[in-house]
Amino acid sequence: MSVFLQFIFITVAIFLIITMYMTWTVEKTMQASYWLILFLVGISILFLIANSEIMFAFQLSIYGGGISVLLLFAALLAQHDDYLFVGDSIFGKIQGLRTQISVFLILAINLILLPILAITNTNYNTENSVLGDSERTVSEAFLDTARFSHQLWTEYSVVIPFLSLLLLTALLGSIKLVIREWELEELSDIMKMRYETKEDTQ
Amino acid sequence: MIDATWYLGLSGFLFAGGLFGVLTQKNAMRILISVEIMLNSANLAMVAFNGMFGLGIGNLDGWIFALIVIGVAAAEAAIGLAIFLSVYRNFGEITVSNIFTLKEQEVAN
Repeated sequence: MSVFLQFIFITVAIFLIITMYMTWTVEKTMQASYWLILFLVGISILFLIANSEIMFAFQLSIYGGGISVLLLFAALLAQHDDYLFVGDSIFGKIQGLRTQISVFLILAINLILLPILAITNTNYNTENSVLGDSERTVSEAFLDTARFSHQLWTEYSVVIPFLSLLLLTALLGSIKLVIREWELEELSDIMKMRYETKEDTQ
Repeated sequence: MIDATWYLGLSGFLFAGGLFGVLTQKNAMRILISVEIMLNSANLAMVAFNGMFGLGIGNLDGWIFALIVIGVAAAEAAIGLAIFLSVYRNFGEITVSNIFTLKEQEVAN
């Protein structure tokens, strides 16, 4: 079992390095956001095989679900691309759309299969801790999640109000930033020209 | 068993990769993506240390700190993207090296 988990770890580590490289090199920001989603899912699998089941759930729901959708919307709304590597080199070939789609699909399918394999191959009744030396039974394994929630509401009870306040402030701040109407004089020359042309055509 | 050093090595590598991205990319969105990579690598290290020292004895500080980092990253992404959209509406681009006029411009309320 441990050899199998090591195999999963190494596979996911290679996937992470590939996805990180792709976020730097792909042509469009939108594509970089897609590759980031794969990266975040890969990290969540590493959490899972480190026996952090609750962190796996957090990572998938908050990072893989919430933040990546936010990034995708921003990429859609501000379409401007500037990337690092250009030309006909090997990097240019990697940027090809077909290559990208194939690699993306292969990684995505593998990242779906790997957590399933990690869960089904973890024998919770005998030995569970892949990082420490301690042996845990199935009840002990999920007791950590219970301990986590207990610790969160007792010893670290300030964390949830802190995060709530922070996220509320971020929400209000981002709304304030986005709804502001710019005066024509405040805009850059390019945008001023764009708005003026738009007004003329209307 | 997977040794914690594997996790830490990978975490260090990913952190360095994220830092490389922050330093070399010109597009603000890509810089934010690189920052997310750095935060995730830090989370990986925290979860690994928690697995090494905390699991089994009921000490789960690593998970709590990873949760805080996830929350802070969500707030940072929301604010960062709102700034990008605002900058895009003003300048028509989010290439960091081209938006030098931002520091010269007075932002009225």
